[in-house]
Amino acid sequence: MNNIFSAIEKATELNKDLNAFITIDKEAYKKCCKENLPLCGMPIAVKDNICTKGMRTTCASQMLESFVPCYDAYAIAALKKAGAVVLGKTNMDEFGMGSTGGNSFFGATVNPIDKKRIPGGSSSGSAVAVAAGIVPAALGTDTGGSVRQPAAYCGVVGLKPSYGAVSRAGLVAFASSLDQIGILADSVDTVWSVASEIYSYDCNDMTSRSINPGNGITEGFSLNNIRIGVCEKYNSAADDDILAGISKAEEILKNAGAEIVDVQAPMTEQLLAMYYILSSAEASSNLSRFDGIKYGKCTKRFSSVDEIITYSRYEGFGDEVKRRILLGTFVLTQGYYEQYYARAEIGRRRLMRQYNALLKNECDIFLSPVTLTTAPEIGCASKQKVRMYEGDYYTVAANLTGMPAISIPVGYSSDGLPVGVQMMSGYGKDELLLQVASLFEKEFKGGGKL
Amino acid sequence: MKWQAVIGLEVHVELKTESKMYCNCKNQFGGQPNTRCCPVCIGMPGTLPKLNKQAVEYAVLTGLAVDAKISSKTRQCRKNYFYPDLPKGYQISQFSAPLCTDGQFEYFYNNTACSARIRQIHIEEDAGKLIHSPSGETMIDYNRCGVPLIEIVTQPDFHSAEQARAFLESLRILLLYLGVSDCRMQEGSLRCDVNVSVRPVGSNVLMPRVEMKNINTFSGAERAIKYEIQRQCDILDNGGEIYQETRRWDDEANTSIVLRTKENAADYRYFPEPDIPYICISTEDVERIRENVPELEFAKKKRYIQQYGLAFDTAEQLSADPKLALFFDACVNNKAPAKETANLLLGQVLNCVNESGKSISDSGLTVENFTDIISYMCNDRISATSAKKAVAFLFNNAGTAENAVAELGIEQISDSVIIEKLVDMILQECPDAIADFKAGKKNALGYLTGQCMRQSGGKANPRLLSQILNEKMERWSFNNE
Repeated sequence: MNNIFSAIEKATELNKDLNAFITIDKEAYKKCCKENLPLCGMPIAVKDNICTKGMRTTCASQMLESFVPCYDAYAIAALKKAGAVVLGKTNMDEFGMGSTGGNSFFGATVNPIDKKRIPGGSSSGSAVAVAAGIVPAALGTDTGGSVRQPAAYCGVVGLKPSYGAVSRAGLVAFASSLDQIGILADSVDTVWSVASEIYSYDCNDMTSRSINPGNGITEGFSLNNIRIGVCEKYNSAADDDILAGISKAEEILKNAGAEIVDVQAPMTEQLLAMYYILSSAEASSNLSRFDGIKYGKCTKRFSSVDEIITYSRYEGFGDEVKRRILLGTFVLTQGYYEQYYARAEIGRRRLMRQYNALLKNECDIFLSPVTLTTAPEIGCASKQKVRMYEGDYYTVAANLTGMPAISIPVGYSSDGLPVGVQMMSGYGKDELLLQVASLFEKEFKGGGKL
Repeated sequence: MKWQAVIGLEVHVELKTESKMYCNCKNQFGGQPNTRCCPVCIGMPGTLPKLNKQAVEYAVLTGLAVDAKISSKTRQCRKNYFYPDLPKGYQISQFSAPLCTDGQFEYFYNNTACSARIRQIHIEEDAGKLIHSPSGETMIDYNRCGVPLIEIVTQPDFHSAEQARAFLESLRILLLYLGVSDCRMQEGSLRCDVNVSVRPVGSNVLMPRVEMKNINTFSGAERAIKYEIQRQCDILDNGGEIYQETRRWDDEANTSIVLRTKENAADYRYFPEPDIPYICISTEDVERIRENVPELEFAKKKRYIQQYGLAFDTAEQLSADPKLALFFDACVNNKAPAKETANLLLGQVLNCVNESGKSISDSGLTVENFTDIISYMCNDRISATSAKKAVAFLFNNAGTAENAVAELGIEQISDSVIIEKLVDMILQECPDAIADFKAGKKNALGYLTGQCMRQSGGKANPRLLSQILNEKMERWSFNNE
C-alpha cells in the first residue's frame, strides 16, 4: 500500500513537468490486495489506449476525451487478478499514431533524461513513467515500434511479444494484424513477472495464441552456442552513438560465449512502405467506428446524418490521425488496392518466410539497433511528415512478421543520452528471447558511457 | 415481345443460431430496442469478433443442399461504409473467397422443372434498424446488429417476375427443411434484392442491370420486377438507354426511385478481416454436416408417391410444408397408415392450424396421440367423423387419445352380438316399417337405421349396423314368407 501511495504522489508531482499521465487514480492505494498474489502491490501505468473499466480511456484523442469503458482489457483483468494496481493511464501519440509523444490532445510528454528532448512514441507516457522511477512496469502498445523506440530513447527495457501472445481484447485497435500490447520496465526480470501474467490464449481474441514467455533463467541455460545474427549494412543507417552501442553489445555477447554471425537482413528497402500501407489501411477501417453517434465526441454543428459523422471526425481527430486515415483509405480504393495493399500483403508474406528461415537456419537471435539516433530534440520534427516515418526502419520488421522483439539499454552516448539495442527471435520463441536478454542484461549491469 | 427480361436475385437469410454472429448476445427477433446488444455488436473501442461456429455450419449445410462447392479455406472481409445502423463503420462479410460457390437449385415453375445456378453463398452480419418517428426523428435499434446472415446470390437465370417468385417460394421451403432459418419475411429473417435487365429476344449479351432494394414480401418482389421490366422496356422502346443504378422499391406507391447511380456507386474498399483468421473446413467437417441434409421437398414428394402410393396432389401439398411433412414422417414411422394420416393431416389438422394460428408443435397434438386416433379409426373403434372431432379436441386440449375418446364419448359399439340384440329389439318394435320395406319403400331402411342408431346412443358402428340390419331384413322377410 505504501509504495502505491508514494507512486501516486510521485506521478502527480512529476506530471507538471513530464506530462506522462492523462489520468492518475488517486484512490489506487485502496485497491491493494491482501493475499500473496504474484504482483501484489505493484503499481502499473497503462497506456491510454488499453481499456480500463470505470477509468477514462482516451487514446490521447479529443474524440474519446470523456470515454469511460464498461469493460477491462484482457491484460488488465489478468494484472488485477495477479494483484497489480493500475496507477493511472499514460499519455501517448493519438490512437498510437506517431513516434514523438507530441501528437496528443492532452499535450506533449517530455523525456525525463533531458526535458528538451522527446521521449519517443507512441507509448511515450509509459516509457517516461518507468524511466522517471514512478512505476516499475508499464503497459504500452507496439504496432511499428511504439514500445521499443520510446524504451530506447528513455533508457528502459521494452518488449513487444510475439503477435497473438497477449490478447488484444480491450486494446483500441490501430492496425489489427500488427498491434500487440507490450511491456516497459526497469529490468528484464520485471518484464518477465508481468509477462507471465498477461501472456495467455484468450478465446475472445481469434488471433490469440498460447505462447509461454517463461519466468526466469532456466537451469543450465547459457549464451554458449547461441548464434547472434548481425547485418552490418542494415545497421549502417544508424548514427555513431547507436553503432557504438551495437559494438558493445556484440562484445558482451561474444565474451559470454555467444557466436556473432554475419547475416543479410531481409527486404530492408521495402519495410517502411509495406508497414505504412498495411497499418494505415487497417487503421482507416478500425477508426471508422468513431462517428459521433454511439459514444465519443459528437459535433454540435450538423444538419444531416452525413454531417454528424463528418464533423465529429473532423473535430475529434488530430492531424496525424487524419493523415493516416486518408493514406489508408487511398491504398484500399478500387483501382489502387492491387497496386498498394495487395502488393504490400504479398511482400509481407515473403518477409515472414525470409525471417523464418533466417532465425532458424542462420541465427537464433537477430541483433540490430532500435532507432537511428538517440532521442531528438523537441520540435526538430521534419516539415515533411513522411520523413518522420523513416525512424521506424529497425522496428517495423518485428510487427510485420509477428516475431517477438525487445529493446534493451546498453549505456549512454557521449552527451548522456540512453542508447538501446534490439534483439529479435523466431515467432513464438519469446522464452528464448527473454532468457538471452536477461543474461545479456546481467552481463553488463550498470550501462555506462559507450 | 421484343425484349427478354433477365433477372438475378440476392437473398439475405437470417440464421436461426442461439447467439449472434460475433458475440454472445441472444439471436432473437423483437424485444425492447437496444436490450440485446453488447460492446462487441455495438462496436465499442477495443472489442473483437468471435465467430459463431453454428452459423458457419448452417451456411455449409445450405451450400451442400444446393450442390455447391464448399471452400476448404475461406476468409471474411471488411465491407467499409458509413451509416448509422452500422456501428463499426464496416460490415464483416465475404468478398473474394466466399464459403460456397457454383451450386444449383431445382424448382418448379408453371409445372415445369427449372434449374437456377447459385453463384455463391457467403456469411456476414446483419446491421441495426433505423426507426423513423412521425415527428421526424430517426432512432437506431442495435438489437439486429450482428445477427448471422447468409447471402445467397443467383446467376441471372430468371426471365419473368413469376418465375423469380416461384424460385423464392421453393428456396424458402428448402431453408425451412434445412432448419437454418425461420424465413419470416414480415420479421425480416428473409430479404431479397433483385437485379433486372432486359435484352433483345435471342441475344445472350448481358445489358446494364438495375438493382432494386427494399423488397419485403414475395408478392412485392413480383410487383417490383414486373414494374422494372416494364419501365426498362418503355425506355428502350422510346430509343433511350438503361444505365446501371440502384433503386428503392416503394410497394405502396408501386414505383421505384433512384438511390445511387453508377457514378456515385459505393466503393467498399474490401480487404481481408484481420481479426478473424482463415476459416478452415475439412472434408471430415463437410461429410459430418452433409449427414444433416435432410430429405428435401422433391425427394420427399417422389417417395410419398412411390412408397406410400399417395396421390400426386396430396404428396405435393404435404411435401411443400416441412413441418407437416416431418410430422407425417414421424407418424408413419410410428406405424400409422400413410393415406389416412395424410388425409387427416391435410384436412382436419390443417383446419385447426389455420383457425388457431398455432403450429402443430405448439398444439396439443403429438405423434403419439395422433397415430393412436388414426389406429382407433382404422380398427373401427371410432368412426371417421369422430376421429375428426378427436383430432380437434386433442389439438386444443392435449392429452392422450384414450382420454379424448372418453371425454367426447365417441367410442363405437362394434360388437356384433350387441348390435344384433339391438337390431332385433328395434325390429320387434317396428313391424310397420318392416312391412313398408317388404312393400318396396326404400326409406324404411333409413328409418330403421336411424332408430337403431338412436337406441345405441349414436355409438353403433355404422358399417356393422348397416350390414347386420340388412342381413336381418333379408332373413326376416324370408322367415315370414
